[in-house]
Order: sequence, then C-alpha cells, then structure tokens
Amino acid sequence: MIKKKIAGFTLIEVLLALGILALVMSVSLKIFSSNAINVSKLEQKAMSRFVADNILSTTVYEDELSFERGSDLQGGMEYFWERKVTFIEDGKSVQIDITVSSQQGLELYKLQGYKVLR
Amino acid sequence: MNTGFSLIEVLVSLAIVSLIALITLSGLTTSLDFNKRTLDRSDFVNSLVILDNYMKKDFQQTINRLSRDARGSYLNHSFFGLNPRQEGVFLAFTINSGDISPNFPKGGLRFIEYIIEEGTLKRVEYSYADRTFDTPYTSQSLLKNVEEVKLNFIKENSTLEEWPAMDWMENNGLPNIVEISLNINNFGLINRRYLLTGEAI
Repeated sequence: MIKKKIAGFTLIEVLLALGILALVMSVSLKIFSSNAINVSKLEQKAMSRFVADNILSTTVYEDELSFERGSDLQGGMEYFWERKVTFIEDGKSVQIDITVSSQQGLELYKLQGYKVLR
Repeated sequence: MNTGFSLIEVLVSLAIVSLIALITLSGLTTSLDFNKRTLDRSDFVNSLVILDNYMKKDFQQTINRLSRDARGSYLNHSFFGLNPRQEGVFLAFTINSGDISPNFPKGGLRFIEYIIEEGTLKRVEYSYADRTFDTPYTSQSLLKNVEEVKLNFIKENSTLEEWPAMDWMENNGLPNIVEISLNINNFGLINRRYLLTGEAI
C-alpha cells in the first residue's frame, strides 16, 4: 500500500509567501508616500509663486524701492520672501529680485522683474 | 486510517489565515485611503493654479470700456466688483482677449463674470462684450469648497471694498490692483494681488 503524502505547506513556503506579501505592501506604501511628498512639494511651489507674484504686483506702484523682507500666509503655511532692488546703470530702471523660501529656509521660488522709474 | 484534519487543526489554521488577511487588508486600505487624499489634494492645488492663471490673464486683458447689457443699454461703469455676502456675480468686466477669428466679428472683446454658487467659484465668458439675450457663453467651475471671497480694490494709494464706489456716478475706469482672498474649506486662506494694466479704447 502506497502511503499518501499529506498535502500541506512547509514552513519555508509559508515564510516565502509572507515575505512576498510584505515586499508588495512596502513597495506600494513607498510609492504612495513619495506621491504625497511630491504633492506637498508642488503645493509649496505653487503657493510660493503666489507670494512672489503678490510682492511684484505691489512693487509696481511703490515709489520708494528698497530691500525688504517679510512673510506671507498662504493655505495655512508661512512663506518667507525677500525683495532685492538693484539700480541699473542708466538710472532710469531697477531690477527686482524676489526670493521665496519655506520655514526651513529652503529656497522655493525666484522671480525677477524690471521697473522703469517715473 | 485517518488522513483528514482534526477540527482543532482546521480552526487554528482558519484563525491564522483570517489574522493575516485582516492585517493585509487594513494595511492596504489605509495606504489606499492615504493615496486618495494625496490625489484629492493634488487635484485641488491644480484647480487653484488654473483659477490663478485665468484671473491673472483676465486682469491683464481687462479694458476700460462701457459695454452693453442684454437689454441694449450701456453699463455705467466698465468694471464691477462686490464683496459677495451671498450667491451671485462678484466680478464683471470686459477683456480684449486678442482672439480675432471670422466667427467673432467684434474681435477679441469678451464680457467676463466671476460667480460664486453653492461654494463653487465659476467663470463665465460671453462671446461678445455687448451682450444680447442669446449671446453664447461658456461657464466653467474652477474651484470648489470656497467658504468666503473677499475683495479689495486699490487705486492710487486708496483701498476700496467695492468697485465702483457708491458715490461715483460716472465711469471711474479700472482699479490698479485687485486683491482677492479666498477662504477654502480644508485648505485655508489664499491671498492674491493682481495687476490691471488695461487702457481705455
């Protein structure tokens, strides 16, 4: 009489299956988390562009231009901006450089503009 | 000979399998939910940037022109802006879009309205500046979950909450800067300042 082999998984097989499962889950988690990081980076970029644009808008109607810095709240996050003013040789126009950084001091957005002095 | 499993063995194996399934499923749903929230946020930021682009371009192209309303009479002012406490139009003005084609004999002039309706910010573009009852228009929903819109109009160092101001009987042209702050649910406050550079024609 032939002895029937008991059909079951060996410990190795079970461990292997669990290992594959863990691998798949960790990969999907990694993709999702890097997704989230990218989205928050994009959001910061968009908001810092708003901040720089706002500063440039008011700069157009300011008579006395000088170096200035400040912060602006957009979407519940604080952004720090710096406005540099460089007089161009002809004395009739200025170059305006706006830099926006995050709270951690990371540079997020740069905007350059020119203004003809009245 | 007994080759089957005993009840205990079956129960224990079922318990183990269900435990593993439970852990896997909860992990998976959490990460999927997290991903959905990320995608929603990304969609939202996207729509915010699109709205900003529309507004920026519209204000750059705004012109000081008295257009006609659907009844054929001229409007008293070329630019209208209200702080909306209720639903409806809060910005109305004429732009020169520069889009001149044979289909639009009046050139690139368009009448633009920004509307708040049930928390949704919409932009309406009429194909002609001088409207009639059947002027074709397109309406786009640009942003959802808008709780409050607040406007300020800056002209030569003075700030107004309404344009035109109450005591202006005749057309006072365009403001220099339009300040818009949007209070958005689940996101916070957005402040924008747009330049208007249009001249009279």
